[in-house]
Amino acid sequence: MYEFEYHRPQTVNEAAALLADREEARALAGGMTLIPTMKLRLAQPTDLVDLGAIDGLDRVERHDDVVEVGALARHADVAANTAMTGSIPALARLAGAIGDPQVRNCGSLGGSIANADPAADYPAALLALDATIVTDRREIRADEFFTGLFETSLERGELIVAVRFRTPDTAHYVKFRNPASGYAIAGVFVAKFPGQVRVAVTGAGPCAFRVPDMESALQARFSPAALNGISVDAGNFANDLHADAAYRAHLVGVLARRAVEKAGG
Amino acid sequence: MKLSGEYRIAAPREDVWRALNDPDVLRSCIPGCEALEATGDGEYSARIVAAIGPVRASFDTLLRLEEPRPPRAYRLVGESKGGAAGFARGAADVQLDEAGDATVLRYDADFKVGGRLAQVGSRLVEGATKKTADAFFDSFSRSLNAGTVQTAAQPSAGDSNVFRRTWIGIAAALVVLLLWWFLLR
Repeated sequence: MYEFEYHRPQTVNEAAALLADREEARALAGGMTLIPTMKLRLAQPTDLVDLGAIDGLDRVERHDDVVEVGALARHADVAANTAMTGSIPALARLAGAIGDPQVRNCGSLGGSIANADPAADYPAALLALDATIVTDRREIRADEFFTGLFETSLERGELIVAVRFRTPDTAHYVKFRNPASGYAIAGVFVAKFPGQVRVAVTGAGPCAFRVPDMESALQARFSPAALNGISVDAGNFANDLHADAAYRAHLVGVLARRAVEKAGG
Repeated sequence: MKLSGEYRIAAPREDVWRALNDPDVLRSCIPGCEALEATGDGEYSARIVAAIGPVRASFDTLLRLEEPRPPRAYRLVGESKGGAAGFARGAADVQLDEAGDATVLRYDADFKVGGRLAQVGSRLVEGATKKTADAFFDSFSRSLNAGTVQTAAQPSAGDSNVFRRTWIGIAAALVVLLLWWFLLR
């Protein structure tokens, strides 16, 4: 084991100050990515700032047509929370299918989206549900949050406090799951709001993204058949040992039709 | 393991060549490059910090340039050590072609990877490589257009020093691409 300083601040401000003062400090949420990376010595931060002792960061609350989820809410808590299952069951199901039980009991919403893994599930939900990311210094629209491979619009040391999700009329998420890791080889989240349909894809490109062609077709007619003939550009899609770009592009069409069907279209 | 790619740089080949002569341009364009220096005849060392997502690892890289055919092509042989993270070694063939007013850089590489690098990250290879390459060539093209390199000396066939420095430049760009590939394979 190599040495690093471990901090356990009680407030968000304290945590932000610790991160600001130290060049190689990393915030620790659920640790489901950072800890394995450290164990492999692929990251060796000088300081870990554990956010786990900060009060109130793990709540899940409903306010009118918005569900607010704290950054430290565990996937398993989101999956089982009645405010969530009652208002956005598609999001509860998504959380309940992330990784394995160990990951779901440690991993957190804030950690997942700050890491912005290209195959993570939550980013698709944030885009499709028109979410707002609340940080210690501002609010960011999901549409402006995911900017590239493991890249977000978060500034250095900026901490996510909560995420606000809009409650849709209906929604569904379908992913083609890697059987070993649980990561999405491709995943599509479809959400229907009054006068608007949002379709977001994860697992395929460098980061989650929306598909405007599918959205306008579904706005005109919310039915799987409305998506026939619409293809996505595989230009920047991932090619790896699990699937090539063309296969992923094909999956996106198939999964989108299934998601619409399950959402009642 | 094989890796290849192609980049179009919006500048004439001579300008690209000249820009690649300027270590300052390269150091500022290569994501994470902390040092780049000659260690012997045709041999160079580079220290590059690779940071993507949760990973942050530092690599000491040794490079040797072989079979230079200025200003069109060369072969780069290299070895990269990332301490506990692992190591990689291999070779790449690089070619610079004129395409109207622009220049096309192509590379074909074949590498071996060992240690922990080889165990993780296979699903991220291509995206990470592309991201790093894009970042380099974006900065590099901007340097060219900003005139940063206009003051650099004109290369000539008799000036081996200029050629050598050029190899360092192209090599450094390649190192970044390949490091990602090593790291995330």
